[in-house]
Amino acid sequence: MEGKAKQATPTETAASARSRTKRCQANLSEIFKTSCSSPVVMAHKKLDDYTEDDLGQDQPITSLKILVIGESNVGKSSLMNRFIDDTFDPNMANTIGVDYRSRVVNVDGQTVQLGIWDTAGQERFRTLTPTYYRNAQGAVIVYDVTRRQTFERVEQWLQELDAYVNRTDVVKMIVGNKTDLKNREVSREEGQQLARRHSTLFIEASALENDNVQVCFEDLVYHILQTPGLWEARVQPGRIQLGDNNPSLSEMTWNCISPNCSLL
Amino acid sequence: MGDEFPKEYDVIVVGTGMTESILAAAASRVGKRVLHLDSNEYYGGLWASFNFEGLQQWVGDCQKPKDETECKADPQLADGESAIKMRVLNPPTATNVKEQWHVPEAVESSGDDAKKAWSQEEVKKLYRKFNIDLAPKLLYSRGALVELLISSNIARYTEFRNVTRVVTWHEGKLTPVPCSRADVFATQNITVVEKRMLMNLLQECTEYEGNPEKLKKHENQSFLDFLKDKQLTDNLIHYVLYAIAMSTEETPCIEGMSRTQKFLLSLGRYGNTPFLWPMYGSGEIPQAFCRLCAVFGGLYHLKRGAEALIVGSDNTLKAIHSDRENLKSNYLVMGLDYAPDSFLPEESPGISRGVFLIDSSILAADKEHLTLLEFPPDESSGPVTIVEVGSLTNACPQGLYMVHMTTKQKGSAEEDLMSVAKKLMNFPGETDESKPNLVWSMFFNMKDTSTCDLGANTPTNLFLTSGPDLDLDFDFAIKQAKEIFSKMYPEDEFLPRAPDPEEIILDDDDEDKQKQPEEKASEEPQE
Ligand SMILES: Nc1nc2c(ncn2[C@@H]2O[C@H](COP(=O)(O)OP(=O)(O)O)[C@@H](O)[C@H]2O)c(=O)[nH]1
Ligand SMILES: [Mg+2]
Repeated sequence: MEGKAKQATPTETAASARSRTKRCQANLSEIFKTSCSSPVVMAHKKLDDYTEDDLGQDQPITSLKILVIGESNVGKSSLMNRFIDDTFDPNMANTIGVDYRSRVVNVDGQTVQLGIWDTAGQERFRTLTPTYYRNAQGAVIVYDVTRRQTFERVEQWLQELDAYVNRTDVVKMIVGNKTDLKNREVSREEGQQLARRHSTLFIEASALENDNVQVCFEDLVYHILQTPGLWEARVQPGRIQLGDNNPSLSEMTWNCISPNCSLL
Repeated sequence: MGDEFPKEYDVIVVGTGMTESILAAAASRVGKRVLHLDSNEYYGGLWASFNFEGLQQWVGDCQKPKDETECKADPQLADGESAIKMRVLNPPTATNVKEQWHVPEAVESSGDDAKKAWSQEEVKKLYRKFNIDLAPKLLYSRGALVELLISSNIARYTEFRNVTRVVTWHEGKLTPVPCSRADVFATQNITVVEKRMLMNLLQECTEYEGNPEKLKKHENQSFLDFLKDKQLTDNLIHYVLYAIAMSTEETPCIEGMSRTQKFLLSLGRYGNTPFLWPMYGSGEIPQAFCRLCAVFGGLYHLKRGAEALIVGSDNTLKAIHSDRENLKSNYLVMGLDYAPDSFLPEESPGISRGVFLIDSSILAADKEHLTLLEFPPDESSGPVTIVEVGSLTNACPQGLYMVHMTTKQKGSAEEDLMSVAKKLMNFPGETDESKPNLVWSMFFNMKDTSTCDLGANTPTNLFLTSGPDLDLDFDFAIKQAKEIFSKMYPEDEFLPRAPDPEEIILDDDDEDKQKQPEEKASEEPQE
């Protein structure tokens, strides 16, 4: 682990690389099997990890939601894990219990909390819920350069994305993964052409060899930050996430003692 | 990777309606192997929401004649087993479906007119901006679903808006009902004396449980009589009875008080009315549970149902036959809309639904409101629950409002709802300037199976689940899911909190590594 952390890209602050090493290699398939008694160590929220040095001086944090889609087995979860904590587990059965993973990065002088959302296997029979797509600012569409059929499905994934993402300016990146393998079926040029046709970003990568993985996500973030209106308006007034109890509203309840009570 | 998947499960769930989805999530969450199927290509079944195009398809499907033929299935059977064939892909179980436009196909753009003149073309062009619910529901801010979403951490998949006003129909017009303390003091509609009476009454309703003496007195009284005893003015009685307690003249006193209390307890948690509306529609809610199920390893396949059920001689379900394969399962949970005829309850009451697109709000204001209106019963109709949503909820495009009406079925949905609709909006030819103009409407009926006895004719390890009910909130589905879950897994916790991804840090000890292979062998679905 120690050695791997050094591979952190230059855009990332030293502190965030340090805090990433705190996390051990995760065997995620463990998490639910024995229900509550599973060997899960509950740690406190990641923001504690990051506060002081990480967040720059008084820079606000921008949070972004990034989707990873594409056919089964192309390496979506592997890319995510490689990016988040620089791990690669060839035997990872499934990313059980993991919805999204997050990491703080510094791109273009801006501190960004990236939430990378995994498909949770629901892509297998093309049954992703529309809910999965809501409010995303970026999407990574992955294919496997050694399986042509996964490349041919990319257009359908783009269509599905357009159908459910509720805005037109979501930044998309097509990724040809597994470049470390010899038996290529899709050339780099074909990938580039497809990306050009759909006006998306393009990169070839290998999750196994950690080739182009950091760059892929950082480039995506960079383009999101360059898109006016895409990320600033994250907090839309009037939208409620449950659990935020807003104490200032409590005066509207009946049992409180408000100045108006004197009227009674 | 082909359509190869495991042949054995702890629970197979057929149908992605509300109760089914909660159960799938609950089972998966505690480590059960779950397969979740739906023969439709969309999630939610009778609880789905559609964009405008998707809705057209649904309407088309409903209008197809019901196919009574059985599925062609020839499952392999072991000794003593028999197969119950299912109907060919069930048509959606909605009837009396009537969809109608009230604007021309196309209109010349009328220039700088203040009010946009809508055309069919224009609405269709914006089809993706719609989320039209078959079963619209509101959540009480302290109701069962809100608490469950928070305690299970499924809340992270959902987003809501607060209903911004509660409105009633009184003396032939719409009036906002003051429902918070602040509202009561701000309103011009009631006098200072009335304000005081109202506050006292509401206070009493929040405290009634701790007062058994008082309760006794009202045991045989109707809520209306109780309100009259309190010497409330007609105005106030109307507000409390219809808008706050959402009751009728017959509602017993205790029930009326308990409904009032429920309303008041949910006030102020997220806003100045007690209600929340899901962004993108109620159809999001079952999906959120499905997502949790998948995150914990549940397997999903849409456009796939069961063609036959394989039942052993001991009247337990052994497997389902689906897409030429026998899939074994210890339990089967099945939406009633899928159930073979022999399992169906005799008769069930019905729900009448109306959906209307209009070009401004039913009660114009200086900002976009999310409105709840309990339309009081009159000679021609029962009480009708009306929710009006605008573009802020992503239910419809900007410039349009969508009105959902729901009532107990007496005749067809159109017969049951037309008189109320006429009061609130202009139909073609009508030009009342205070009312919105109707652009498009749809009526349909569906069964209310929440009161049926579903266990009567089924194998002992098969659980049928109801479709949408008439209540405002999702309490019924949650209750039903909890009951079924506790029959299947009495030892397990129902939807314990799912950890946030940031909290998942696994020990990498050797000890754990050694344990892992055994667990995998016994519990992991074979890939
Ligand atoms: N050779 C090679 N194998 C990879 C690479 N990325 C993922 N894999 C393997 O491909 C399989 C599928 O990966 P996974 O991340 O589960 O794919 P997903 O279904 O798209 O999430 C696993 O066996 C991985 O070990 C890569 O870059 N190179
Ligand atoms: Mg995966």
